[in-house]
Amino acid sequence: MIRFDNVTKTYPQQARPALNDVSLEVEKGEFVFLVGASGSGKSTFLRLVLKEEKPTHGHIHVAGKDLSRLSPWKVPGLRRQLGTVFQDFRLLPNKTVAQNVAFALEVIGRPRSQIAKVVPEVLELVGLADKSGRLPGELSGGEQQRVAIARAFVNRPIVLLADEPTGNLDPSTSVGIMRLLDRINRTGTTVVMATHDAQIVDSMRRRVIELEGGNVVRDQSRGVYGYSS
Amino acid sequence: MRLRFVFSELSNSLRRNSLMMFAVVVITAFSMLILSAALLVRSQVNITKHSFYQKLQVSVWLCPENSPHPQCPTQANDVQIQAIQSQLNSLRPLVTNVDFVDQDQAWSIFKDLFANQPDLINNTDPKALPESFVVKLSDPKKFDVISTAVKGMPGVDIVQNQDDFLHKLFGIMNAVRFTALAATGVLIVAAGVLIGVAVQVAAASRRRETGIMRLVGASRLYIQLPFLLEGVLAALIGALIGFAGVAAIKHFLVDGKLKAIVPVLGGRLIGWAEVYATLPWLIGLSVVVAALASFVTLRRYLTV
Repeated sequence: MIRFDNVTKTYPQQARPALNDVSLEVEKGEFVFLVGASGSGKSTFLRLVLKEEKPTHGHIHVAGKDLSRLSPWKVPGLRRQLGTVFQDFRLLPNKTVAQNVAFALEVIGRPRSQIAKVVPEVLELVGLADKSGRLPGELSGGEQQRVAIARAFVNRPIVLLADEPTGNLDPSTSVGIMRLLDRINRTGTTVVMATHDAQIVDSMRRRVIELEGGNVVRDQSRGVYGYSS
Repeated sequence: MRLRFVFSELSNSLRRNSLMMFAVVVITAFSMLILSAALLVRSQVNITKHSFYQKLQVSVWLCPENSPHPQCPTQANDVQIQAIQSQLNSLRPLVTNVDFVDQDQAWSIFKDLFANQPDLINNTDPKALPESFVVKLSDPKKFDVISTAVKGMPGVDIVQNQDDFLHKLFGIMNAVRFTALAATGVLIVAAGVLIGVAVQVAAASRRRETGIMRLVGASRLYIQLPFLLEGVLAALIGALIGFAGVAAIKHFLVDGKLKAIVPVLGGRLIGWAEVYATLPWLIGLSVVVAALASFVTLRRYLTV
């Protein structure tokens, strides 16, 4: 589903690469944690998958496509197959919950009838069916992240990328978010989640890829956050 | 569905960015007004040229009695007049018509011309009026040919061409036109820059939306079209207001005040047909400039 072949990414005017000769493969339907300190390369990894950045060396395959050969006008097509969730939710404050989710479909030109059908379904899935008319400012952090997940998932992506989705949430709320991501994963969606949260990683017992200074230092199929923690 | 989305984004953005868009409308209106004026001055020059040249005649004045000019020692005699006439006739087909105006005819023309100044008529001796040939040319621009052919012939006093006056008039009108075109050029550059800045501000104020659109896989067209339309729409409104200004000038100034100089200009003044003919230019140019400025700005400031 995602394959990195000897991928190195060096940002302009930086001596040290953000990712250094990384080769790995994520299979369809896997749930993968990316762990490591700030600046270890987790976000760069996710940006490369989204083709927001180009690798300096190496090749990346996502959903069977070689990203280095993907022409710019096909990048939106790639991103429609990927869902993305961030630490800061990135909701539109002047749109309601339902409108925020619908926005993701409107901007890719989906017909109105389809939007009217799938938005309530996905809000039901994330447990916010009764709050579809609320504005993001009226919701708790956990609820806002559920809206963001609903928006990322509404187009049924084959991969869900989550960049520290629980970073702004308290532990009990985080558990709810992780249950939701787990449920989405069980529908067959590949989930790649960058996180700092040791407790979550340890409790989920899924594949863990640890990055340190741009290098993969550990790749365990049923791992924990770290040896020391 | 797609269109509905684009237009709702457009109206949101226009409302939020209204002051900037107002500036774009004003500067576009002003530059299009000046451009239209330049185009209309050119139309007027063409109309005036055409009608003037059709009526343009060359007068060959013959020596009168007691002329102070050295080329006229005596009054032109019949032999001289015959010679001049045959010389003029030899220039056909350039010369299309030769009329001899004798003193009686000259006197009646003089009386008509100064009918409201009886003192002048009473104090003028009909014998003092010179006789002349009035020559019509097939190509009025070839006045020089006539001039060189008869100037210096015995009995010829002055060869006069109304073209001299015309050249001065057209010179002034062309100067006005080029000044207006240069002003248009400067204003259009300013309008283009302003449109670029306005679009940039609009894009910056909606970076959150465009960021999400990018992530969920909206196409470049979908992301950029509302901004592009925003710039184009503001410019289009400006062009229409500029045209309304031109129409007002035509109605109040040209049809009002300038009517008085029609006899001087000859022919007629610009009509509504000429005014309407500038509209496609105003719309076309403002839309192209706005689209170009928006496009360049979006390429630089809105990553997709």
